[in-house]
Amino acid sequence: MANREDSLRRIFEATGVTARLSDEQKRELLTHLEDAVESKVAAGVPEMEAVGQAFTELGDLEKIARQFPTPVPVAVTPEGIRVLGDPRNLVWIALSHLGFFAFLSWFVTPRFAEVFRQVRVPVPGLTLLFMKAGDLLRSSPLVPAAALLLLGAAIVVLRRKPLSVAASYALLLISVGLCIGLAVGLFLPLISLLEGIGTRR
Amino acid sequence: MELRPLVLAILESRPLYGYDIAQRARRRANLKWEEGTLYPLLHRLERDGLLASEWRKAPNGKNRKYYALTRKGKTALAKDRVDWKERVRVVSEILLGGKHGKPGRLAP
Repeated sequence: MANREDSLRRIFEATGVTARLSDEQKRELLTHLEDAVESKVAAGVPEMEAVGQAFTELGDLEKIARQFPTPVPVAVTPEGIRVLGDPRNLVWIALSHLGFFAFLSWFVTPRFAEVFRQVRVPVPGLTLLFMKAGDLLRSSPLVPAAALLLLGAAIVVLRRKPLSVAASYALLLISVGLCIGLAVGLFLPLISLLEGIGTRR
Repeated sequence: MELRPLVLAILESRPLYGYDIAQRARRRANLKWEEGTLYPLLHRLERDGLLASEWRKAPNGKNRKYYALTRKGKTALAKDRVDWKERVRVVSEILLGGKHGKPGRLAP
């Protein structure tokens, strides 16, 4: 079976059209040829004839290669970092933001809260809100477990059925908003604390 | 023949991979076509958000790229159906006659 796949791959590459195709397009066309040959051989067609028929039925490879849509442009920074071109991939960036938000709420917020309590600096409502969210995260082991479970389920679902572009942007906006809100919430009292120190001097 | 509605209709019941779609199209529509042209179409439909895809194991144990209709794809299929009915109605009226069974006449 592996021999058949290798032979098909070699014939396919010998057509000279593979340079125009992406790896995924090549893989897809090759699997089509494999399935076609397998089904013909199972129906009693001799192997060589089946290969010929499969290529004929697949059609003009040059024409097929030209018909594939042009890929979504991918920006590359001078450092070589690839920026995700498909807006639906924004959802992954949003999930990493949410992970970062959870990390800050879990580990960083309590330390800040402790400092604010000790120096008795006035804490704004926004800061209190995020401190409460951090307390909630740490108060019950069920909360992070449920969050992890939800994240796992989201990854499985999103792999099968990606979110729409609008929903991806909305999720990204929310996650960025949460991270910025938390950063501002933590640094506002710090600024007033530093100002207080400055005034005392 | 327009392939988009055909492919969307084939994928309506469940996700399928390329070869499977091509075989169903051949059987259901008695289609004589270059099967390879299906793949650029699938990629375009996926790019336009009408299909979602995923590589997973087929019943023969091999990895195949399965395509499934998205919500947008279902809406497009419903619209294609309405358009198709309208086209059939118009052409039937011209070729077979109107409501009274009289052959329709094309304007000069």
